[in-house]
Amino acid sequence: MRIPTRICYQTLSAIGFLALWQVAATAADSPLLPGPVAVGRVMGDALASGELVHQLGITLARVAASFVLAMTIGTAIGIAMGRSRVVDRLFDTWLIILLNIPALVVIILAYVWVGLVEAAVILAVSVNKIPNVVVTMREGARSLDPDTLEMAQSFRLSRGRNLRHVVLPQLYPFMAASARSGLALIWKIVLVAELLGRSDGIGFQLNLFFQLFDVAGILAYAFAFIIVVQILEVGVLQPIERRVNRWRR
Amino acid sequence: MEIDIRSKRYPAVGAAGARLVLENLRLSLRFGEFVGVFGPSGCGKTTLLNIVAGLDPDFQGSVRPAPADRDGSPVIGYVFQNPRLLPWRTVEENVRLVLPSHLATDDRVGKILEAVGLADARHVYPNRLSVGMSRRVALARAFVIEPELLLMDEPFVSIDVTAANRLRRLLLSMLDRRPTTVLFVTHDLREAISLADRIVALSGPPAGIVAEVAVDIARDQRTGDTVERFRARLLDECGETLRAAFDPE
Repeated sequence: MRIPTRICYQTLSAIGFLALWQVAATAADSPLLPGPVAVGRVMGDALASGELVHQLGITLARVAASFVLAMTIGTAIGIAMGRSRVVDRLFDTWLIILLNIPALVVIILAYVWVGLVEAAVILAVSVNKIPNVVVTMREGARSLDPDTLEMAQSFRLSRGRNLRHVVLPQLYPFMAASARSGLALIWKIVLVAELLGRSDGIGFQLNLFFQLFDVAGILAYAFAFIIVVQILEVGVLQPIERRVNRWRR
Repeated sequence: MEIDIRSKRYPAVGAAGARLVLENLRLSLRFGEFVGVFGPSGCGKTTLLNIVAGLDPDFQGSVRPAPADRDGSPVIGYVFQNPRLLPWRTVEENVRLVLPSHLATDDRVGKILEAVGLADARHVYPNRLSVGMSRRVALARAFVIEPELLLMDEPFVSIDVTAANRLRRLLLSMLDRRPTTVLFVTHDLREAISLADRIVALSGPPAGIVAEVAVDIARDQRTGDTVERFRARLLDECGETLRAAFDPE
């Protein structure tokens, strides 16, 4: 599909969604289901007062820190497990346990053990995401092409060069996949952690609006974040992906 | 260099049972000697090269002296049966990769690309190249390190005759400039005669040496005629078993 046509469809689809929402809101005629216009107005006010940008910034910083931490540690562990059968067997059970602990339990335990501090949030969110990264990266490390690895070995490439030129380029698609699903998962968990134990950030704001039954506020903050994540996807992830894939035909 | 392989077997995989590939294969290479290893497809020639390259430590026997590194730069140039280029690196980057940074000068890389006729394609990614061009990149990669031992696994198949002849001349002129021990695997007896100092014929599986012949024609005398006569004489003099090994057609 040509790009202009695609944008055209996307715009049409978004307008359709908003229209449906407005119709439902008009029909319900209740403060519990405000329409897109009302939500937009709240968003505009929060933007003008600087409150939205401030809270968004705090939450984004937490998302970024957890994201970087989870991707780095998860990738390292994933490669180790994918390349070594011993490591894989030793830690496979740990991985299954970590994969299945509810996010909420990790957050509560982190607050109990570490305290109601910033480090607890970053820790809890990373621990939630790391096992997913490990599973994806392990799959990638298992599927490394033995031919190019042998080439690297016979030409005695240093560890660093082997990683940078031979191993990592084969793992980029797996990294992109776990980055994409990671971004979506992490920001949702950050909100829960904020709601439970922080006095700022979007999650804290949502809790406030919940106590006031301010649905327009809740939707305004949620949509603001969805827009930011979309911008990250289109403005950061996709260009990086295009760059590392330019060798493909 | 003394190669002494008592046995090499591949373990059973699924329905295929364990296979004994090489048995009692003893071969000594003098420094600067060009040895052509000749034998039918699937007889274990590639396995032999992998063992000599140190890629396959799982065998009974020894390769002495094990090729050592000279201050960080590799001593073995391996031209694999498939080019084994990194598709996400350009032609030039693929060649540069195997050189330690202090040796990877533009001059050195440029000269070798020129020599294999790829100066114009230096910034191209490998999956835009024809098979023959990819093979030439693999040759450049093996030549550029100025190896002490050159392992070549049917390097000139699927290149057109003119280009193959040019690359053979390039190989010989490189050997003239710098004495290099070469282990050259081929199933083409004419090619072996036109290049090698000594031809070793393998039969198999399991492969062992069934014949060793010194090629006593001076390098500059090896034209189509003399090579053909040598081949005819060889096939004529050999007993029935050897003829089967030398002339599988």
